[in-house]
Amino acid sequence: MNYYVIVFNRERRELISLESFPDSSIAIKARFEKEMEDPGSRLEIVVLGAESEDALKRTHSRYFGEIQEVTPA
Amino acid sequence: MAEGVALSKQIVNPVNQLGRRLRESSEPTQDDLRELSHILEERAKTLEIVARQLREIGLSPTTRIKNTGTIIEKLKRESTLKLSKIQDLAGARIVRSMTLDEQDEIVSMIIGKWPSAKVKDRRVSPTYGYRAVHVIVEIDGYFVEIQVRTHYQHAWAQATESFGDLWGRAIRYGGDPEEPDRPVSDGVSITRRELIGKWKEMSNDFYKLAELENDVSRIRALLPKIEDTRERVTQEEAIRSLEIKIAKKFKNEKDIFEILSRSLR
Repeated sequence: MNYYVIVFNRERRELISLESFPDSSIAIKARFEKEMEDPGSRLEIVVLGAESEDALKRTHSRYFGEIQEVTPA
Repeated sequence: MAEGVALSKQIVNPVNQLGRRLRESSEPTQDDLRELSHILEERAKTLEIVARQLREIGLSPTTRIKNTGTIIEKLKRESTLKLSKIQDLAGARIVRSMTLDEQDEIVSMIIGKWPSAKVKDRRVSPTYGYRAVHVIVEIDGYFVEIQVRTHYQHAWAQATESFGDLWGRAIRYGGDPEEPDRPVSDGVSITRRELIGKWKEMSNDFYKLAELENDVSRIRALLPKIEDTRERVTQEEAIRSLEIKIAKKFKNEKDIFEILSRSLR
């Protein structure tokens, strides 16, 4: 299982970044750090878990319009 | 701890106190957000156990930890809800191209794994158009919500989320879109409110279509068992008649579903 931190701009319906992590705790900590970078931001920062990115795209397709940046952590 | 065991007050009280502070604060403190993050790390461990067990019975879930903004939104929207009682802080989702009967089978498999799980069947009585079956599992006092969605239900739900991104999340809870009387785009007379109304009706149409396809699938499954030739011909005609009905009455829905599936892929 891989864990992904997704940053999504809801107003522009745009995927800002997607980072993958091997562990859910590390992913949630990374999400917290991102939230603290810009408190009160309207960006949606979400932690998802999936066997693969393709599986994620099937069940959470809403996030996958345009990808600006995809980085393994 | 075993399934269904209640958490002690020493654990629950601080969690609910945090929930109250998050609800009442216009801007949550960094300490409270960190505490929430630690709670979510715990929930994620329970979610991992559930996901692993779902995979053991042949299902392929993806998982989701509820994001901070929607947790706070939910606490503010439901003024008596306790943080410890939110059932979807940790969730799993199973999406398949399947009939309604197959959806029932998956739900039965999950209940077979967790017999005390609670089932919320939102197919016949949807929540503002949202249809799915949710199974709530409780492990060590923590809840995990497992969403089981067919392809139609999922396409509708994802598109609704996107409407919510564009015109405000209130749509998902029966509210109006932002600027409800504004046309959906230049040169189009239909307003946002009207479009959302039609979209909710579309959920009913998708469901009727799914019911007919389910009927077809049931008859098809019976065909090999029918020995009497005349009876088999009758059932084959019933299938053809249902397929014609689907093609005629639900052409729009099929087309819209195809467009959604392509755009959401």
